[in-house]
Amino acid sequence: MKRLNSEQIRTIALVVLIIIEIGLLVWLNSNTDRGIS
Amino acid sequence: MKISHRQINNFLTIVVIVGALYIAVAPYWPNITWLFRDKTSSAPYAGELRSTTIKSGTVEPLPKDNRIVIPTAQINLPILEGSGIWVIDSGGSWRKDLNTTSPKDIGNTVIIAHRFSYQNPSGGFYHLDKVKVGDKLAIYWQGEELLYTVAETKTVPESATEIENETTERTLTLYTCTPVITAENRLVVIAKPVETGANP
Repeated sequence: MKRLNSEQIRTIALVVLIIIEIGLLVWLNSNTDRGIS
Repeated sequence: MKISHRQINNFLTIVVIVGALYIAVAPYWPNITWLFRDKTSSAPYAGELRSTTIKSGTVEPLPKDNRIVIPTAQINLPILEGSGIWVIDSGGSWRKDLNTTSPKDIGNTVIIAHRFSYQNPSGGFYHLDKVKVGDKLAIYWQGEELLYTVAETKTVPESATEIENETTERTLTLYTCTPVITAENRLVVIAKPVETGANP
């Protein structure tokens, strides 16, 4: 099996971080004023 | 031109940093800009409210549309009407007209605006927490200025629907969410009308 080099590992980590940030943004937004009624 | 793996990673790093900064700073950004705002300007419209605040800047005639103006919190928003909070998704405040009265009538007029969302960090009532008991505010309704004095400010849980209950005298109830990044509680401002001619 081909081993990933350091740049490829960094890319994967950054993409995971971006996905986590988007999820956090969506979750935080759902907790804000959208629920006002 | 060939883009290297390192260049892609550098770009992704910038995206991660900018995203994290936005998530962390956006809820407090309106408070940061508040520090640098000119807070000496008074109500922009000629009328009783203006005479109770500092006279400076340009005087405009009373607005034709329905508006709420609170000089101490620098709030000047159109009052929209409709069947749901969605009417203010692009800005303004919403008068709950389904079970609350018109500002001119006896009863409880309830006006709501957003505090914060990531699409619109500076919601209409973001600075409602800066309103204090005794402050003057005005509702411009159908071309007329209705002046109020803040009688009470309080924080209640979101389940406290009694803030919308009908009252036996003219009352104005404003509310929004608090603390800023949650809809956990409601920040409520209750104001009573000032009779014309009784203003200082």
